[in-house]
Amino acid sequence: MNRTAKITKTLAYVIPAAVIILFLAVTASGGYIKANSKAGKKIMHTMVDLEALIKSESWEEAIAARSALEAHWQEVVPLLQLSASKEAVQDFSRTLKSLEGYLKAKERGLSLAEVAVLRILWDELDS
Amino acid sequence: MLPDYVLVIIRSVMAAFTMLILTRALGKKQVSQLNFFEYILGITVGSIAASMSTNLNNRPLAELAALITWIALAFALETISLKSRKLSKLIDGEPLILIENGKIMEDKMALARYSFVDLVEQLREKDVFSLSDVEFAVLETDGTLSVLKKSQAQPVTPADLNLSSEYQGLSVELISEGTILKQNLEQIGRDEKWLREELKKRGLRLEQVAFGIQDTKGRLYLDLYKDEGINIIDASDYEGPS
Repeated sequence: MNRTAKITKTLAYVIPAAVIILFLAVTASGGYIKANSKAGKKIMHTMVDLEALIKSESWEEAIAARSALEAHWQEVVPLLQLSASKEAVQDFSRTLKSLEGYLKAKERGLSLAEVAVLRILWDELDS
Repeated sequence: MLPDYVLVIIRSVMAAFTMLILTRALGKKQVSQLNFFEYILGITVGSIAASMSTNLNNRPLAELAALITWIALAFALETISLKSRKLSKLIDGEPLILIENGKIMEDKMALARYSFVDLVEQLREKDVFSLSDVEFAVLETDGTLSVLKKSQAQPVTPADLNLSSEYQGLSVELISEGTILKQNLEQIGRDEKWLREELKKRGLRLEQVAFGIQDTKGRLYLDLYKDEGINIIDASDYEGPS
């Protein structure tokens, strides 16, 4: 077997295997994106800040933090959609929106509950 | 946020290529050669791929994992079947002799849940219209019926008449769509120069040839793009697309 034939034969195995590995990597990338992307890290920090702001009833700052959270979410969501279910993505988006209403109404308990739900949804987004 | 149709396209590409790559690894069995389990397995794999493609409420990794697992399972069972005769019989089952020396084996028919209607129908598909012509009929593991006709019902062959017949091997493709298939030329010990000279002798250029083969007797058959000298019969009886 000459060199070109050997290379062609090897590629015939390597390329399909690489394609499958690539697909697996893309569909399993959620956890990595959440933990390592800039927007992913900011989401986690903003949720912690938001909880503290609600507890101290700093409503104006909390509304600003929620807007920042939504901006980070919009930044990272196209990548997460490749690995997460549509339902999980929609749940996070909806909870973010309902949090906006509770913050405007200065509902301390409900706002804290929504932040708690957001944290769970964020954790479960790729599981 | 990506719209649903973009996600469907991405997931469909992933599902299609995963299926293509993994099923290529399974070999070249045709649908008609599959046993019942393999057939069901094929349907399951197809429905998982369809779900991965369009059901956005499921995580793609879970569906990709299911797809890989099912195909890997099929591959494993196929490999086991090849390596172990005992396990192969356990997985694929055994052929059943339904007609032995011209007699129908009712117990085997019951075992295979095979009716007389099924038997007669499959015999007809084998061009056997009378049960009295059958010596043996074997129900294979893929559900097809192999039939051995009685010697008096079998067609006469050159060997029966003590006639000598010539070797008939495989023809080799040399030109396809106006392109020379160099690898095939090398296999028969010829080169491009020889082929071009042959074309020249016939007053042809390579671009005119749609398909060209050489048979085992060295005869060159060339089909041209332009079909001259024949009345082309239009088999269609309506003006829509054929």
